[in-house]
Amino acid sequence: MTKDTAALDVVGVDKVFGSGPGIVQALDNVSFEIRDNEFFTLLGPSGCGKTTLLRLMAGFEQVTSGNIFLYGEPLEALPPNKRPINTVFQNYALFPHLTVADNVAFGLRMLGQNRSDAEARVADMLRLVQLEAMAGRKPNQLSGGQQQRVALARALAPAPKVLLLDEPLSALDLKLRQQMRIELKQIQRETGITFVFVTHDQEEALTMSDRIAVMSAGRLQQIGRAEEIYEAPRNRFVADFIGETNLLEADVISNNGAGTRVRIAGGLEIEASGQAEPGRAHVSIRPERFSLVEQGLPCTVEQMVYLGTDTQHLVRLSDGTLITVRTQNAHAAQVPFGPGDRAALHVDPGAARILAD
Amino acid sequence: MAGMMSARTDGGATYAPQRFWLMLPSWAVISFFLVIPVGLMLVYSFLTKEFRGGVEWTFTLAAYDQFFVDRGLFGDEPPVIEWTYLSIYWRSIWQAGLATILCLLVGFPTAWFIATRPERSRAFWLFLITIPYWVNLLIRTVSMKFLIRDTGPVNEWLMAMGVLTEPITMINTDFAVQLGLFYSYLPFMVLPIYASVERYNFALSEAAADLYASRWTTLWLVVVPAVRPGIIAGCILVFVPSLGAFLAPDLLGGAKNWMIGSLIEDQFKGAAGNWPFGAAAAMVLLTMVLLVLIFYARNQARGAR
Repeated sequence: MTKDTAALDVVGVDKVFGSGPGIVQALDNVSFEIRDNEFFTLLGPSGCGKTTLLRLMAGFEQVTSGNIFLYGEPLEALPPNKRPINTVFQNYALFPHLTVADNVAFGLRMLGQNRSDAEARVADMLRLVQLEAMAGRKPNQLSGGQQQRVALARALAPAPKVLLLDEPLSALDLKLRQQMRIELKQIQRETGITFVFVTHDQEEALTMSDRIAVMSAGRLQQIGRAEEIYEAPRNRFVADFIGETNLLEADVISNNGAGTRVRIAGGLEIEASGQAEPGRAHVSIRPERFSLVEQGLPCTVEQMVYLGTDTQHLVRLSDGTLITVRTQNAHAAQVPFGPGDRAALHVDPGAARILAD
Repeated sequence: MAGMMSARTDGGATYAPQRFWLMLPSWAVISFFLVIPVGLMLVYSFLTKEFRGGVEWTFTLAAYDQFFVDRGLFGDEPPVIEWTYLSIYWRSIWQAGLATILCLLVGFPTAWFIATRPERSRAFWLFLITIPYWVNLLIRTVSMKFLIRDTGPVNEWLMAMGVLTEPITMINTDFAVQLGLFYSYLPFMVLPIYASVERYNFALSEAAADLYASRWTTLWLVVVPAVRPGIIAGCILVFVPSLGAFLAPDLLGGAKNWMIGSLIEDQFKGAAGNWPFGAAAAMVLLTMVLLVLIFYARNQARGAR
């Protein structure tokens, strides 16, 4: 029953491009579920397979092995034009010879909707993306942000069961991108359509998504809510890719049920969440979980970078390990350390996390 | 005029002398290759013919009269429309139009095929298309004649395979002329369409499929509008020279299947030797082609608006 309620169910999907020496394994045994009405993000660096996965869902590529189900129905046999899934393309792919209204109406016309219903739907969609005034324009008379909205309206108009978005914000400037993040999330809530959003921008993923799947090298690395991924990264890749972190080598001292006691650089012994076998392990500690104080683990400040809301210090421990420390400038008066100063490092209890590999 | 000049504040006045010299080469080329030859033909078409070529500088409408009006063998009957030349024109338009359609039907898929090959092999395929055109058109047309004549390889193969018991006559037919035109001008269709398809954003086809369009619908509603400039350029490049072609109708069509080109050629080089009439025939053709192009240009302007 749970299988049937999943909007998209990806089961053991492999995708191989080419053959012989030029063979590329784009996806390696990827399985996960996307829930109904979810804003789901596929996050990873370029070449991680996230766009390939999106193209498999849309039907532009065929799986090498495995299956994808849409509300329990296998998608394999359906060509793209038979799938109730629409896509917002990375460079929008608006039809240049059609007006904005005709672009938005395209899917409705193909589905055979009658003219007056289609016109009403187009008007609704243009209102949703605030482009009513642009209905008669051609795409090349619009700004990038407006084209992006037309692409969104066009893909939403046929009321797809799932909307796929392939890095739709990457061509916009920062201000517009931030605004569109909020709007996209709002539109997703209003329409109740399941969104699958592909991006390499972790900030985008963290701000919009209900759940995030982090991918790397064709494999699913971790799947979870934004705070799970950020606070409890499962492995080094996720810890490093999502936000900034200090990846430190550690000696495992003891291991009780709740956590693990480790010794990190500089001889500091701390409790870390997560399990590890005795021996060597990696821990991740976020820069904002460190602070610079007068008394504690001695260190030397190497660099200081002012970042507006935060100040970042790069400090060196006695054994040479470099650690990034980030302090909110609300407390700036408490961090009077500049380059060359001797200081002491404090770690928040519970900040350290053991990484699987 | 003065108002226009003053409205253009800086650049216009400063560069006026240079502009004259910079535009001179263009004007020289256009004059020498376009205005003067066509003007000369226009003038010739209103002059009196001299026996066996050449003109006499006396104004007359005789050439156009001969083209359009039939006054009987001795010129004393009531004037009626002369159908001899108009029917040659009609056959030419029909043949050129058919050649254009056939070239489009074969050229579009060919261009599409080449443009969708990996980038490295495209040059190779284009090269293959152009290889036959390194050989002179006359030679190629003659070789086509050898191929399709009654005792040529096509008939012989078909008979050897038992498809035919006696050769079918292909030479000196409309079919042979059509084959010659198609063969001569196919690359002029392939190359411009190729250039358009190569620039085509294939994501548009994916977007159409994503929005429930079938392959055919995508072709008609998305691909054709996007590569339309290439298709139109190809059609003009095939239609216009086909209309004026004389090698294919002469060599493959024989005396009964003349086209406009053959008629005009005959006036200047052949037995007829009537320069003013040849010039008038050329002017009628030019006027027709211009009308078609103007009609197209106005359509384009309306579409763009």
